[in-house]
Amino acid sequence: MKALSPAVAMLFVLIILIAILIPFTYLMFSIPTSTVNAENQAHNNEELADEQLSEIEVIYNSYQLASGIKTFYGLVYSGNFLYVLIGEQNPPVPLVIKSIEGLRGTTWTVVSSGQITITTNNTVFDGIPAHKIHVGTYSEIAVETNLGNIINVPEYKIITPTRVSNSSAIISLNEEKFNVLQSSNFYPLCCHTPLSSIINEFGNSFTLLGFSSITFCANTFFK
Amino acid sequence: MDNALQSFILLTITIVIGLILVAYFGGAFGIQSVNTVSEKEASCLAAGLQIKENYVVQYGRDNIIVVPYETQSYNEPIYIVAFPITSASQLEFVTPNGTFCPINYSTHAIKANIEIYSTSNQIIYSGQICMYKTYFNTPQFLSVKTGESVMVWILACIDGKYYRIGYSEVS
Repeated sequence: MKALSPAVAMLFVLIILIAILIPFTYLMFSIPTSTVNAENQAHNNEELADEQLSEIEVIYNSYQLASGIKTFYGLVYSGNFLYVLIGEQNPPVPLVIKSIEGLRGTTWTVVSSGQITITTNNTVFDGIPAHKIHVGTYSEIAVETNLGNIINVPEYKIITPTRVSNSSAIISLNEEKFNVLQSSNFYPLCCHTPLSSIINEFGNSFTLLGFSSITFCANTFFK
Repeated sequence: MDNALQSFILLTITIVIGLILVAYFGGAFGIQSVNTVSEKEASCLAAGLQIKENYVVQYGRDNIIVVPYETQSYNEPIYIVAFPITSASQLEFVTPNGTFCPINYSTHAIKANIEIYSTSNQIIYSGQICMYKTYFNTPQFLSVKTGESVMVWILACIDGKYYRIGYSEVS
């Protein structure tokens, strides 16, 4: 018995060491591994999110849309609806919308929090296949994708092309530069009075006041 | 005293010492492992967290959407804190000075005196805080005066300790 006691004591010491060291080592070495995995995952996600952002285009107006969609998806907010325009895709790239927020005044509200996966079109917007989502009236909306991208979509503006003839002129008026004359004299002008004769008579400083309209001809020059 | 009794006493003492050692180290290791596990969880959450933000300037205010985007699976609530800051170079060490910004235009804030730890288990703030309970990947709304800088902290309560797992200056 006396000869066995040191061996029994050693066995206890060994058990204690094993009981402490193995779990401690496991915990110590597992911390960086799980953190590094999480970092890698976050990094991959960030790359995917950047890639997704480059595949989505916000369409602000009809002028921009006239040149077509250059990316996989175009976002249009028009008439209470969000249109996700679907561009050329081969193979198809799904777009997942996680939530839609709307801005009214200075307040954001969650318009839709259900996940919407865009794969096929359910309507056509200006000749382009689109997926139509009802959102309501807001000054601006924000679309949050499954990869965490938040994309602002302002209201779509329709720009009507203006036909400009060669003989027309555009006059810019700066309201801050108007002076009120204390003792102004009014002179009635006959119709079709050439501007050159008015300048000859009154000099370069005069005000034209028209009750109907004032028309400048193409051969009129200001000095 | 005969040899058998001596050996028996020696063996008993060894067993008692062994039990004491196991109890002592086991207890100490238990406390350590609880800290290590919560630190580990906080570090993982911090590594997988991205604070996404986007804002629209309207009526002299920045209307900001903040999304605490987490790549790790975590379904427990998190807490978001926003407070104004002046220009600071080391954002990591900026702490609240008693003024907090409302989030989600709500008055349902949780006001508490708490200690906030960094992911390396250091106390970074101790005092009153105004925080809002939410979940990951859920949009949060902030409205601040244009030009104001706001610091957003994301906190996670793990084993009763509040860890700051992310921070970002917005606006």
